[in-house]
Amino acid sequence: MANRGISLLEGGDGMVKPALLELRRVCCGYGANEVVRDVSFSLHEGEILCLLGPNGVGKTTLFKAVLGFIKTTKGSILVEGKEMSGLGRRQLAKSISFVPQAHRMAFPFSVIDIVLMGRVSHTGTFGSPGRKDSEIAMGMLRRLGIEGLHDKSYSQISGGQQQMVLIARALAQQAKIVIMDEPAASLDYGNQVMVLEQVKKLSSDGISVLMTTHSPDHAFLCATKVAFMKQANCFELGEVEEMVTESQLSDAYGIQVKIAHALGGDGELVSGCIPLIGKKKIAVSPCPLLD
Amino acid sequence: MIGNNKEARRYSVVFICVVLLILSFTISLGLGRAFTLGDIWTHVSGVLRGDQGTNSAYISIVLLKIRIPRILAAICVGMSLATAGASYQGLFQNPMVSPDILGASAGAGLGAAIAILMGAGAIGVQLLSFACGIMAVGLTYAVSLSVGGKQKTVLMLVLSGMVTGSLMTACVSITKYLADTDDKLPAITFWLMGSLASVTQNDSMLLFLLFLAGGIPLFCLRWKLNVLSCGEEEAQSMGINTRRMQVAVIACSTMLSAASVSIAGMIGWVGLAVPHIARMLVGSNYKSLLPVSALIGGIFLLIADDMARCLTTAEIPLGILTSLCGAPFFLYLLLRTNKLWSA
Repeated sequence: MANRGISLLEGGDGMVKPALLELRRVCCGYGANEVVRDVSFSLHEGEILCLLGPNGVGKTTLFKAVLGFIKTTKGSILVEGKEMSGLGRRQLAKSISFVPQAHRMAFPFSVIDIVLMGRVSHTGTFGSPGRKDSEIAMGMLRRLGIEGLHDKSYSQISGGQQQMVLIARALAQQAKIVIMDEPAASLDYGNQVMVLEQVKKLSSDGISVLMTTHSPDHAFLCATKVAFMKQANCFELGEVEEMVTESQLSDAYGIQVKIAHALGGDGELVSGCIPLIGKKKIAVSPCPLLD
Repeated sequence: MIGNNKEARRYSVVFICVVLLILSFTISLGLGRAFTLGDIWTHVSGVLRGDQGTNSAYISIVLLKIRIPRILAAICVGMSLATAGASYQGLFQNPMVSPDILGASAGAGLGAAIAILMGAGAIGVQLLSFACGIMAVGLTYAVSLSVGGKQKTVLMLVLSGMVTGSLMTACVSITKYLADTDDKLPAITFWLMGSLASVTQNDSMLLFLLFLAGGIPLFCLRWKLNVLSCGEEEAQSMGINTRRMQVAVIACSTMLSAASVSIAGMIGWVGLAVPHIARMLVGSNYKSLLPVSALIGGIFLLIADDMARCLTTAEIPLGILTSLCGAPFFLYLLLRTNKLWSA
């Protein structure tokens, strides 16, 4: 039983760490309509896995399965070594937290009230958060550098700030895995980078992040691993440099893309994607893994 | 440590509401044609000194059998409707929701109309009304499950609630159409307008017990309503079993609103407007929003009922008064403050 089902990663110092999250040949969808087929990957401590792919390819469906909103039809999901279907909501929430896209709230809660909601899995059935929970919530706001917002109304802060508040709420859950649904979408350029910087900081604190993005540049900026979902049912996983290539991007999105490199401030090489406009569309080739 | 000013403000709002409730209770005791607050004072001090005045027996009967039960019933109904309304607004993530969204009041109204049509007594009317209110919500829930499956439960609940509600309203119209125009039809019509005129001691005791049964669980779960109001999936990701929570909130709120309608008839506006007034005072956090809503609901309905029995020589139907006062008062608040949507 000891190591069954736990994929292992050799750490730099020879330590062996089990995967925090592992998907094994997972299929899921809505009713008879199977949207995601045969996806396997594992996520280790401190990794940032960036999920790329065109709209409607099943990224959100896969996320819903990992968060337990929908059941898998085949395969299994292991969370910190435990089968997910055997975990209750509260237990699952202690391992996985979720950052949705910044959105309107039905009611104008104050920022601190929203961050405190993240403590719900740590309070009793009829309980409400206490002094310790308030301190944790304030600590998370401080960690993200937005403690000054604590008594502002969520409806009156900017979209970038709202996104940071939702990240703080997920952090207050104190889960090891954070799942983010396009955390940088609909934010201005500066806020996008600010959010990605925070994501990178999380991973250095040992938190693993699984995020979707529509911008392959984000993968260059913060990912340690990249997964591509191209067309339905096609899932490929690899290192950033081998996954975010001109041919991969053309293949996934049906456009021509150039990848450019530049020297960063400290002499390190930075990369970025430049789509070409007005060129002939590329026919998307069928997925090589499936026949 | 956090927001000390706001915290202090919340506590003082709760304190002021409690004081106002006690004050309006005391004033209401002395309102009416039979005797005033001064008479009650002479009576009470007379009893304490051991000498009974001529009016004494009369005063204590009116006070204990009529006035106090009616005042308590008004407070309970107001508190119940406001609590149910505030809870539903969180559950359905929508500030425009009122306690009758799932068909509880329409069902209770139908039950009462059928009981009146069959010539049942006051107790029969209340029982059938309460039962039909609960059954209507049960029907709504069953329909939403069979139509919606596991996805989008909130949307399906609202749609099924609309269907059930309009079915029940149509059935009420049928009972009215069939009713004897001399005697049953006016009875049904007046009942539906809402009144606390015939409340007895037993009614108010029962209402109080039902208020406790539905209100205490909601009071204990109130902080989690915050999380639920973020939407089902987000609440799940934070560790809430949303299905179980929905059933608990619906069951308790249904009990509160069906109990209120079965005793007091159709009373509009309290469940919708009072939570908004509370939100203006203490913000959106259910931890203080729910108790403040309940307190304001109790005060509001007690004052409305005082007006119903004292403004004119004849009783004014309570349901008409709450809408007549509630709607303009709410509009006034909206115009006066634009703080409605700030925390």
